[in-house]
Amino acid sequence: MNARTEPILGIDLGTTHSLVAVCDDGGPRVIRDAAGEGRVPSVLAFDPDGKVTVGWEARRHAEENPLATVFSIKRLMGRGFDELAASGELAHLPYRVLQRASDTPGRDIAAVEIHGRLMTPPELSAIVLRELRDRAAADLGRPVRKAVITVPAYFDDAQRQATRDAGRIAGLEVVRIINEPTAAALAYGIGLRSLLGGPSRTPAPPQAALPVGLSGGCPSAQPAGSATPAADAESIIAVYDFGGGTFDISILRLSEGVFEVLSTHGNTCLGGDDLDREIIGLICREVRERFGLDIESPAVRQAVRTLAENVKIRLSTEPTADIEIDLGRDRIYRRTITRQEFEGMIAPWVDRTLDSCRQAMRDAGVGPEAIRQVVMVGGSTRIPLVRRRVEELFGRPGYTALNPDEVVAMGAAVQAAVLAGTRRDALLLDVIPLSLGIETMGGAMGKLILRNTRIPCQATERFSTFVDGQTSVRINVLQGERELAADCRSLGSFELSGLPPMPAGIPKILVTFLIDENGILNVSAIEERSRRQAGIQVVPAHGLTRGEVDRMTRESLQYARQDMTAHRLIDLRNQVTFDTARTEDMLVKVGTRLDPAEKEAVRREIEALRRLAAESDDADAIFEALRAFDRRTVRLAELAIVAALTEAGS
Amino acid sequence: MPTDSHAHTRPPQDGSSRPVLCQACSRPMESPLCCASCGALNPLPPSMFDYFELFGIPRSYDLDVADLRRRYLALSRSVHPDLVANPSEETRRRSLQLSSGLNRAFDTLADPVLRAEYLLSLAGGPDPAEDKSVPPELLDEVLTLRERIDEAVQSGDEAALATVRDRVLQGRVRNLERIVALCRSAELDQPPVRRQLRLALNAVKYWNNLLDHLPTSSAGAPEKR
Repeated sequence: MNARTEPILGIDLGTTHSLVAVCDDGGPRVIRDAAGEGRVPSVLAFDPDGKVTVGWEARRHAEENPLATVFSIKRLMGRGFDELAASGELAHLPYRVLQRASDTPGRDIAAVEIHGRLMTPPELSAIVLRELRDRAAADLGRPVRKAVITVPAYFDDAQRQATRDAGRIAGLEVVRIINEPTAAALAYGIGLRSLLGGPSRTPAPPQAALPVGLSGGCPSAQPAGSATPAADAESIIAVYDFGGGTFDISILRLSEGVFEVLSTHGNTCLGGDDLDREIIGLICREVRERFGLDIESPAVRQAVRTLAENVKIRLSTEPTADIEIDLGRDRIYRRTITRQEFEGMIAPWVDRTLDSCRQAMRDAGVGPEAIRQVVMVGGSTRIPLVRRRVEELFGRPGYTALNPDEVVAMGAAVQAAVLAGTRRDALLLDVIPLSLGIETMGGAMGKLILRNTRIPCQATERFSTFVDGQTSVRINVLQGERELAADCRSLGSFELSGLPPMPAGIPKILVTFLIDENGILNVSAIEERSRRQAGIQVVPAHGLTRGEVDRMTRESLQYARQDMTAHRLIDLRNQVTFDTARTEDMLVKVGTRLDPAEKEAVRREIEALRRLAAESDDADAIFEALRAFDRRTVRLAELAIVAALTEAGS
Repeated sequence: MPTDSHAHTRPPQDGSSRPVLCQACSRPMESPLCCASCGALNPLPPSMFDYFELFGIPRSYDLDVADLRRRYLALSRSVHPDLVANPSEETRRRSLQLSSGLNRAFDTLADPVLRAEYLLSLAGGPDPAEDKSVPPELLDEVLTLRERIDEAVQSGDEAALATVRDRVLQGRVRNLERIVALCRSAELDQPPVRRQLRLALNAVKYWNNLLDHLPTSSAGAPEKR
């Protein structure tokens, strides 16, 4: 990265933690705080006055402020209130999730209520993104406007759109959405592998094995095989990504700097959070049995949540973990959880990840014996049971030499460098995780693009009218594997309008569904007879329209200013308290040297300034008054200094 | 509502329209997508190239998939949106179009059944919407096998299940072999041969459905799609 190329950040926007990385001449690096910590908890704490804290600080206050501390936002992204409520997800969240009012039928957007204000998940994620951007800007010493953001491979179109919207609201140009396991594979495949002395069988670092001529022009149609790659330059790997809230498995073929995803599978609601909930459930059950007490208060629930997470982490290294909760009035809940017991609780969840692995292998047409390495990503891969089961399934221990928390952000930074044009040694070829189709007559799902199809890809479909003179056609776009439209996710409806009034069945509209390199759907339509572009209006079922995103972007800037104002007001009021107290102190010490009228004037100044600070919210006015006050009390301050010097000298 | 679910661009009959000149610098192009002289992405005129020409290989059922993959990756490097520096909106659109076309071309030629389907369409069809018939003996065979599977599952007879599984796999292989033989036929341009190939290709779905109907075997080799 040099001064002319604008840096593009690599951002891992996680369920529990988020990270930002950049790629420079030395390779990818995670941006850390003063304590060397790269992770920023994806937690927001809101003060009643609108001030937001992000990260570790917010997490620490979760117990005091359970209703206004928002976490696990990622599990809400791109999803409707009804489906969240039906899945039982909301029961685990201490903060309130509501359905956002919409004047368009068929839309269902969830929003979080904080101090009476409704905020959508993309707006909340935008605050985390802004924090990461500021952190990177401070580190790089220059403003940053562009980012590559990662998403779980199994995210559907609505969830990807929501992530991109979050970036826009944060004022970032999201140059690419990439899949987390693919990013991890990139980090694994490039540089890091040789740096860490991983089990690479090629003698030279991976870059050296890349074909020549990538930097300029384009290769001829001659097969690149003329670069004679070593016999084992091509290998198949699996990335097992078990994070805080999501699970992905991707199977990739790595050859000559090309990262080709063969298949992917996963679950966007299966992660470390679910394992914590097993422990929370156990504690709540036992407290009820022993003390006849329901843990209902949000603050206690939050405390139990933190405790459960700690127990889970401890059991990765210790055979047992002790729990103690003081429930008041001499009721103390004590309990020892053994690793074995914990493993019994989480085994069904781990089994579900293995089912996904088997499905991904089937879809890729490879067996475990063909997979050379299983790269372990995400905090939950530290759990011994997870490692054991993965080893049993694939017949080899998982590759754990990379930091499972940081590898995704590193990979995103590498991809950012590729997109910035500063490196051309990697090419990602990814796939669409879920089949895409349209609702056909009778409510069936008509698949247009099958899952695990390489992206970009496109499909075209012809539509016509039913009724004479019909001038618009509505298309319901679906994603999923089930046969009935009702069992798939509706991404939204597309309305073709402005058709010339003709007898039924005569207009022919050719609709193109293009999945771009971000895995995001773009729809365009042409009326074949007139070759005219047909108007298309998109109504996302669970997402935001372009106009809504624009409005939120403006609002977020406004709120950022308001937050700044709130911050500044607090600082100014503190300054007023300090300055007036110090002046009173000076009046006591050297007031006798002023004439009574002057002394009375200073007293009045003190009163006026205090009143202004208490009553006004106008930071500028307080700031001006404070400066005027300092000027008017300058004589008193001089007297005080002289007195202090005289005292010291005597 | 949809009137045609197979609206892919119909490939041309005539594949002899080269050489093609780059639209940007007017020099002859070796690769039809990206100009080796000036690096410009050229739009792919659908009426000029077939997938075999795109990859620069002879039009034949028999091909080396590893070689095809190398050619695919090399072409991907020149048209993929990631590697197109400073794209304008127009270049990005073109790059998306070319790489999605390239992906489809590779997936078509790399898959034995899709490749046969493609060769049939190059030879003039019929396409699956035009002729949905299957070989006359197929339906009886499929029904019998389906009953056998259900009986074996209900009685829990593992040996019978293994036998019927073998028969399904063999039947499927026989059908694929027939497809390959017809594709290699020198008379693929003759309507009767094309119809035979159409029937055999229509039968693929029936065999795949039977496979899906079999209970998943714990020890079975992974099946693609």
